[in-house]
Amino acid sequence: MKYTAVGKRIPRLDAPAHVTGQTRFAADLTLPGMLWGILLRSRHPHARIRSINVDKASRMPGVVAIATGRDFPALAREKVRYQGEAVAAVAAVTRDQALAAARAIEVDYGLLPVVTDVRMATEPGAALVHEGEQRAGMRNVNDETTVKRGNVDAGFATADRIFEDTFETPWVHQGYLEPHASIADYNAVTGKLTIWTSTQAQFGVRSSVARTLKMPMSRVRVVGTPVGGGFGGKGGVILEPICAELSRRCGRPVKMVMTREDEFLANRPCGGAVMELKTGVKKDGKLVALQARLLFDTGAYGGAQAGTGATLVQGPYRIPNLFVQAYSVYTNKPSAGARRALTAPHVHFAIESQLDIIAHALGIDPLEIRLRNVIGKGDPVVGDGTMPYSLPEKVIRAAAERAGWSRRGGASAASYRSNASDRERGGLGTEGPEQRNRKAVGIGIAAAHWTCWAGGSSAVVQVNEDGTVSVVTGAINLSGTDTSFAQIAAESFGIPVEKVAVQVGDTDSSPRNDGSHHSRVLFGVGEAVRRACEDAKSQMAEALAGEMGAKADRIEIREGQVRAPGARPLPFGEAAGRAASYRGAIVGRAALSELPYSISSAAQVAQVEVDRETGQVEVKRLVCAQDVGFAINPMIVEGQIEGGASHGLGYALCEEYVYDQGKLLNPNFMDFRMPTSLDHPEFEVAMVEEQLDGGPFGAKGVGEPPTIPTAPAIANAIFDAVGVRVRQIPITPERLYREMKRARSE
Amino acid sequence: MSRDHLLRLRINGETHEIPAHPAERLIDVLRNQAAFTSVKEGCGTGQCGACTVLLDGRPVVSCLVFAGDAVGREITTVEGLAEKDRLHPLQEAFVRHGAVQCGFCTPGMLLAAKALLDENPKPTAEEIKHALTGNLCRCTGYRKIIEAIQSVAGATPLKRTARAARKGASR
Repeated sequence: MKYTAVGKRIPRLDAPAHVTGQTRFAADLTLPGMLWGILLRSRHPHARIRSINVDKASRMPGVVAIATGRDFPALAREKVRYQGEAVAAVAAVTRDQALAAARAIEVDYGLLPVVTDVRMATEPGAALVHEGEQRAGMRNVNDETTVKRGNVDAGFATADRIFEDTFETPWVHQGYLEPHASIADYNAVTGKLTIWTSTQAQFGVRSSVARTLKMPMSRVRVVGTPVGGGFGGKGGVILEPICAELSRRCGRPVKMVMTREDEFLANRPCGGAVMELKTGVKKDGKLVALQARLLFDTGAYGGAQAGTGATLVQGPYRIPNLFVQAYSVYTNKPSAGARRALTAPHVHFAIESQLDIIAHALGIDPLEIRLRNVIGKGDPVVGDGTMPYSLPEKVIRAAAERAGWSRRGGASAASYRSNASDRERGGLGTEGPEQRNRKAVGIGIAAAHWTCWAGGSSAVVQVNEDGTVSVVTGAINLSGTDTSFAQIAAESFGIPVEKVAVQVGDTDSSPRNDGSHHSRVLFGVGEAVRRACEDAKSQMAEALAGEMGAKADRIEIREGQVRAPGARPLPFGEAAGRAASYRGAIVGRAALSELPYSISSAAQVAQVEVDRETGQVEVKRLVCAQDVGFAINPMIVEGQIEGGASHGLGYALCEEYVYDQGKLLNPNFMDFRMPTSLDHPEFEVAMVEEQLDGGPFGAKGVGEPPTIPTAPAIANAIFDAVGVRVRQIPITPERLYREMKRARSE
Repeated sequence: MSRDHLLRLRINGETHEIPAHPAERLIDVLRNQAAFTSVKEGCGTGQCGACTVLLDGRPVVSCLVFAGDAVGREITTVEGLAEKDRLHPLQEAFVRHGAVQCGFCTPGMLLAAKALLDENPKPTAEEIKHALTGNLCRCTGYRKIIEAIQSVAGATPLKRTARAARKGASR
């Protein structure tokens, strides 16, 4: 199939506004009469609120309204459960006045024992974050999932070897550069509330605010502003309900902007996990049984993570006997949210590291053991029926081939290292023998299993009288999806991309869409755009059937023309004008929720250089292979894959929340270190494209899978380089140094 | 802070008289008083680089600069890069190379790149990476940003330069 618009590397349509500084993010907006809102946040991770006194604060200059948990449900009432939890909110004329008033609010706290370690949180005697939360004989458990397949004991009985390991992943922030901001404007005369906000899910914000403020949805209009990075962190309501409440009390617009410290302390970062895996395997490397116990640290108000984690811990592998128990656990930390593939980077770090341990123990090449176990067509997938194709194997092979894995040579990397040219060794050949000895190089592979989900998707497409096309969706554009929608519409009508305009409408002016998460927007909303275009084309055909002397179903719209057998072809622009006048308007629409999940696989090969003296790891090269279905815009897809792997790189080597007694020690970009321009390797992207699934032109969501395999690929490469297995990420120089020292002394 | 003062600031070649206290942060005066909202606040502590502006051609984080210290100096924001509707070659290259995703780091990133190219018109990939260390980007993984800057500098493609540079540099 030859395409004219999809499959092309077209620059993002929003890029010119971004490079000229014209994009208006939420914090850039100002309304007449606008007040500033500030939250008073708890300094304590766990404390009873004995009393709150706002008398002094409410007499401070500029103060217009103060809310507390006594009179507004989105603020803490009897207890604070994490450092940074909002206790009171102030609206004042200037930000400085609001800050000063917030500081003048007197809160009497009664300190409570703090629960920060997810293992200790479940044990007898642990303090309870929420009264009465006890399940399965474990304390602080808010959600549990069990997955069973076959008979795990019988499986272990047939195993030649059994491996037991515990893996640990950290809390990390999504790290987007735009702190969340909201402006709410309640009009007391009309009873209408408008909220401009940095969110991934404007319809979710609408329903949540309507519920909290007890307002009908039709009175709440949410305008999703351009999002300066979300990655899962802006998927739920954040400041919106309290901002709206302050505006309702003041009858004036109120603006609230989070500080970077607020972001770290009190948004929804990605929680940590402790994962115990017991895996039985035959001598030839075939997996026969997996028993896993997974503890997801979901913070003070939780978030169901156990379910997703439990279904993903087997990775992209065929394991006939499975017994997984997964728990979401309350601790005195912020509520855990998603960061690029909810729980998948956690559990893949565990299974992909353990598979590497098994490969080395059995003397099997790490690539080979994956190929022997990878799921293929017809294999069962937990929660998703059976595999419709064998793409995971293809993706693993693509990564290995691109990386030149075969030159590595067998289970031991020694031959790879001795054969490696200077180029592959990252230029080490120019250094002296002492330095060469100090640096070790290694290579590692890991794969990933993920699904993209269409959810509720919809679009409206209007064919204008001059033959241009306007696409309206309610799906927040995070990753360039608007540009891809323009390409889809252009392809559908056979017109140039420049003739298509794409608009993200607000919740009043666009049809409902689920949030922009779960790699779903291009997959689901893109398909809705395609179907809406087809709907509009049928309407045009019906409108023109009489004058073209043909039945509507014989009329074709393509390559800029409307054609019917025996009739003079009409240029698209002329046809559009006539069709609109005959019919009143040509407005195609589509809404869907029935698209099945699409499985998207990824595999990565990392090449690293490790400093044996300091434990410093440098990733030299990262080959990222991924099943993308069909790349509507290969440049955007590459950008998603490179950016996704960049998150994986930070997860592997440097990012982690550090707590002391429930207090976060590093709520800033200096101490929570994200990879900089100097830390990134050469990315090489290998896209596997087979148009097999139900997205537009066979496209799949691509944003989340690339983050999943990076950390285990790097950890496995580190083992290959220095023979030390690190079971906890991030593998900081300190952590690796200690592990290397321990290995030497053993 | 009292705003009885009128600060005379040169911004993008024009003189502005702005009611602001000299001890206010330059970022606040630019964003709130002068409506240069391309100057983004990502952290407020000089760690992310999103608020980068040029002061007499040198990149500074405007969240750590007193507005009074910018008096008598030439301030450049990204609004000052394009000439009417013609994009600056760096802006053009960022668009063309897919170096822009969410766009929040982009103004600061462009200004850091401009300062580099003004001083060193043909930087190596390694020199570009060093020039961008103060500017965080969470979306792209930097590769397309580096490529975009190189395309303007007319340098050799990333891979060859990167390898050549690495041989010389040991860090």
